Amino acid sequence: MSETHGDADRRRPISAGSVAKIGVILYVLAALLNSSNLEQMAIRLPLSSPSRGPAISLTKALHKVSNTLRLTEPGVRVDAYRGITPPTTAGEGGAFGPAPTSVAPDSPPVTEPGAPVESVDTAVAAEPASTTPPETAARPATVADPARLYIGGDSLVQGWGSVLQRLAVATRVVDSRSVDYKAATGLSRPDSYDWPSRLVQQMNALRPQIVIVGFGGNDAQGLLIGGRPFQPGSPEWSAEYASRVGATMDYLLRDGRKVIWVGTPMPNDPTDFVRQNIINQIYRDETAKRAGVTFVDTWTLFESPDHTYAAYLIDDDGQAKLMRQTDGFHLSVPGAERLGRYVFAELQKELDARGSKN
Amino acid sequence: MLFPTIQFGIFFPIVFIGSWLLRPQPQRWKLFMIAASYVFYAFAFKGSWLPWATGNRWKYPALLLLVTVINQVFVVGIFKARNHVTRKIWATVAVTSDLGVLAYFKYYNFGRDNFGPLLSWLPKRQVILPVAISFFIFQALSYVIDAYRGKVKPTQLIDFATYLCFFPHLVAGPIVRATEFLPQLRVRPDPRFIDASHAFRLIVAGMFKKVVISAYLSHSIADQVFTNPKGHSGLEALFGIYAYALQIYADFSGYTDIAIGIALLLGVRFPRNFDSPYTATSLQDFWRRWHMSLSRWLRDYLYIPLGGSRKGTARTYINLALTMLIGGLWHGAAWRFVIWGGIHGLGLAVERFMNEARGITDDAPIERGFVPKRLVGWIVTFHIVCFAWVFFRAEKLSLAYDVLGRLVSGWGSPSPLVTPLLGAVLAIMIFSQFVPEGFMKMVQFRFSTMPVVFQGLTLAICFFFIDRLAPIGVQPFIYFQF
Repeated sequence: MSETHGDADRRRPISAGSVAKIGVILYVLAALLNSSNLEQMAIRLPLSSPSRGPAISLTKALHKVSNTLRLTEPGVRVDAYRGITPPTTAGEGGAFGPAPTSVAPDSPPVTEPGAPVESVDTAVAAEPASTTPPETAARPATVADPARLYIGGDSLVQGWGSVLQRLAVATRVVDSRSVDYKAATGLSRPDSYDWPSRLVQQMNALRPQIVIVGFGGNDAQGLLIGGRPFQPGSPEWSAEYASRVGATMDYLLRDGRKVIWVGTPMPNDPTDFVRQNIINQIYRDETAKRAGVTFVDTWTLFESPDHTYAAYLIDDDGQAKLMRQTDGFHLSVPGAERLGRYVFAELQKELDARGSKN
Repeated sequence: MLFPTIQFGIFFPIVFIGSWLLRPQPQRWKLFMIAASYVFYAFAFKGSWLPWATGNRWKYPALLLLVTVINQVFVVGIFKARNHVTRKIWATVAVTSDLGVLAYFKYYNFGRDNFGPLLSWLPKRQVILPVAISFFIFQALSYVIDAYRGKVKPTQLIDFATYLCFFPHLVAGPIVRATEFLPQLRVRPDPRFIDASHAFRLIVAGMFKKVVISAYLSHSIADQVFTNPKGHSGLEALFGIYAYALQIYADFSGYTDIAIGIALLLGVRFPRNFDSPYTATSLQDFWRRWHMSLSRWLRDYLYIPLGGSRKGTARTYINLALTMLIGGLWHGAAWRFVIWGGIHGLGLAVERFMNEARGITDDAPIERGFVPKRLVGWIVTFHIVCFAWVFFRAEKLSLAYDVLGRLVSGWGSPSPLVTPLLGAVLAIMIFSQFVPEGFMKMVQFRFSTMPVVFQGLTLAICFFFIDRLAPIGVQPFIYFQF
């Protein structure tokens, strides 16, 4: 590349002391300008983290100073320009908005699938939802009028959700454009990622007739109940988590939607094993209380013949394949294929029940 | 530990201050840097911080220590050997053991799954691939081979350990050679002369490429197209491929820019790793600009020992193809990486054949040619590279074929993922490759003439925009898996 400028090869080194001074200015100013994001990061730390409390106190104080100096304004303006609303204080369990009343369940999506959706105020008080779906006859899905499918959940969903989507789209009677996954999220920490709000947005925007979700992988952590943290295994934790799962199912069932809830597979870690077992039992119990929800139990899908965790399993082609990733929880490509096909079988049953034709 | 995190934001100032305070005492500086680098590395794994506890937190740092000690023993053995045969034996044992470690951690499952009749006797086990192993093993190999060739003398264990674990290059390169790093340990850098403006430019540019551009391209289209090709149109597939080509560039070059900048602030110079690779007008040109430290490594320690172009035309083509195939396999134990390397190897061989047929012996024939010829060369090269990336990115071969299939059969359906913003980002990323280096250096020089307060203010504003434009959380670097 040609050098076209006189200053190009000139260097002006500075001392380590000057670098340190620049660093101090950079850190202080950048922290003040980004104080709201830093505060959110502190809030998203695990409840059990000893640094969470001090981090929240520190970032709150920083945010206060930044507010006083009006240094939060540039951030608010940039966010507004990008269409991002300021972070709301989601309730401990998140909140679902009132049921949409003016939109028919089979009306077309508000936006193109995959397009950005409007933000929804999460502070709206939750409306008690009926535990039974409205008596809406499920229309058969056809090539001309395919069933709209929403697939969403945590990082585990990325793998099997993509397989499921591929298989579903191949039937030509299902319309699914994306897998709405978000790593390191779940129903435990709406302060970190507000799934209830996300689901409201997605249901309003996409108007799916069938919803397939998978949570739980990141939910075996402390829950804030009445401002106090409770750990998995305690009765308070189980009751609170069950109420969140139930509320999510109730919301998804609105407008006659069919819900397929996918459980988590057996993990390798002994502590996670116990906790994920509790979570799956809650899913089973909450599903049993509601018509219109099907629970896909994946616990035993990845177990060895002696009912323990298995990294390798014999696949459909008779070959032993690595099913899990090295963390002992996430799925490998063959594992995702196996689970995706398993969930697809459940979807196929639903399509058949609707009398769908391709 | 990832660079764009709060953890690193706390870690680095401590290391920076400690490093410059200890610089007058070289031995203490090296010990400090080794300790800091091992802590940095241990952050990549889960488990207890207690060294005696079970878990991976210290298991893989211990492997790094073992590789360090063993290679030092081998190099001393090579140096002290009394005759050529003994030297060769030491070198062979060293190379075999290094490659053995790499083979076990990286290719155990691949070998067992793909070469059943040959390797089915191996027990089934889930082998965890430690972050950085490909990089530190290649660096250890460069030390051993250079010692065998007489290019380096054995250095002290502490020097070699500092070289191998130095945290800026540890986890994802650039692959710094012993001959480039070790001499820098013998000179004490002057704390009054830090090339800070260059370092800041690299760090800011690297952060922006990684945190904003790479994350945007992966989220907005690349991930969606490559995980579900059949659900997307031909136009989306095409833009998804372009997006991934620029995503991997932004991700990897962004990481190494940050690494080079951080090393510079500590007074250590690394070789350049990327030189506007998407301006290349031939594949040979591309490989002189893409992951340059790996290309040079493969050339000097694989292609040339295989015979390079010295053993006739047929052998030259075989050596080219073999080098690229092995380069592909270095990236991962999967057939798709072999195909990726194969496409490049075949492309390089065809390019060489065509040049020879036209009597062109110049290394870079197109670069100085007519503009239309260069333009055609650029378009063809860019699209061959993009075609190869399809195999690199797709999680399995059938998905790669699906993505390519959509380019043929997926036209006519709506393309909601192809937005004006996406088009603008892709165009700007490609255009930015053609910005003359002289212009960037001029900006850098002007920055360095500003008072310290304004430099800090400018950097704070840059980081403010990076943070605001970034998605929540930090995406792992693509090259961490290699």
